[in-house]
Amino acid sequence: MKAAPFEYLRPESVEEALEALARAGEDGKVLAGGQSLVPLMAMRLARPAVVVDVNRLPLDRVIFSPSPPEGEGQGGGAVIRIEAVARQRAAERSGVAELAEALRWVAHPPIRNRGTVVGSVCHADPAAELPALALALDGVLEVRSLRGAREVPVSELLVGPLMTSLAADELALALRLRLPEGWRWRVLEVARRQGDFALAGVVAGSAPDGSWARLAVFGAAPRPYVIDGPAEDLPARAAEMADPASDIHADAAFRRHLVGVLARRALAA
Amino acid sequence: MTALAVELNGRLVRADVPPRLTLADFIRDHAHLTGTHLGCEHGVCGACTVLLDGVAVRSCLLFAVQAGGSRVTTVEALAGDGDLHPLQAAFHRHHALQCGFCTPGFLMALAELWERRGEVTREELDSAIAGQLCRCTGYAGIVAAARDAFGVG
Repeated sequence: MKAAPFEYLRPESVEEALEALARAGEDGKVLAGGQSLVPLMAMRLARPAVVVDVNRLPLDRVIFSPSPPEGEGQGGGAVIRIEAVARQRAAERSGVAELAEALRWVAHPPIRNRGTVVGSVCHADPAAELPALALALDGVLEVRSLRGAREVPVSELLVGPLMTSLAADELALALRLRLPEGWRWRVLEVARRQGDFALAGVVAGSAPDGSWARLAVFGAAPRPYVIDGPAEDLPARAAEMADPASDIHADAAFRRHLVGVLARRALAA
Repeated sequence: MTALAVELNGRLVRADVPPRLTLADFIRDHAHLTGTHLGCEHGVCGACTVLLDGVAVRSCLLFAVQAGGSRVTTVEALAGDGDLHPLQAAFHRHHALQCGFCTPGFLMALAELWERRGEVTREELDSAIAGQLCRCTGYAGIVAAARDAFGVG
């Protein structure tokens, strides 16, 4: 349970970080909150030769559009810890409240104190809440490398379990989320214990007049997926699209069943 | 090796450490403070929880070099050389430990709330320790101790 040796770099600027990533190529890895990467390194499932620590860079901004009345909800200056965002729920600022609804399911306070929002999206765990939320809210990742800047829709980012379309030299700078006006959002999941990865979960949104809904499903396929349609059609369609794995925690049939039940509950609420 | 300077329980500690050394191993093997326990070494059990600049973190999921320039507080700092910390006294009163392996993690997870001094709800207390594993007590004594210490019914 000890990580393999690596070279540790803590760049002082985004440019410096991009240079380090470009130099390291496939041997490099960005270290943000580290709450998923460090366990993988401890178990030697990940063995990056170069670790680029971005914890002191002004990254990981979450930008809502339309922007909440009092500004962005959180400013730059350092990476955004998940727990810091979750606590803003009390402020009930629009945008942040939707995000906080998902964050209450994410792990535990000591993990959320370190974990970052954009880091979780880039980690692309199929059972994680934040990639599915980003998918549901038409998330777009702002990405840079020495080769230039580009925008990656989250729908194109998530390729498979822990796999994204980001290149080794690319660094995610910010996540943009779109909040359609008047929609209500709900996040529900079932886990063995509160804070564990979900056996299955949903992010559900309903239009103001109830005529149209959107559902993003996580934990039930190699990557989260999203569907749109009349609310009454979505639970059955979501369960049909599920492609879950069987493991020691739950078999595939149970996970598929959960998708339908959670979708119905989330859309009815 | 990377030069590291960290304020550990109010004392400035300097060392040259390999980057792959976790903060937990640094605390135990380099600073010789063995109150911080290491259970799973991959962030699941919570035994290694310490405060980093006042917030609870898993010290097995941080490399020591990342703590450079920060303030680290371990269970040894709770009582200092004097009386038990109110959290420790409550654990004692409620028999909130048996083997004691998980206890430092529980105490430090709660210490973050204690340091914040604000009003604490029952839900916040439950949430604060939800990620800490205990294999002896069945948690009832721990929850009772936490509620008692914070004056939450």
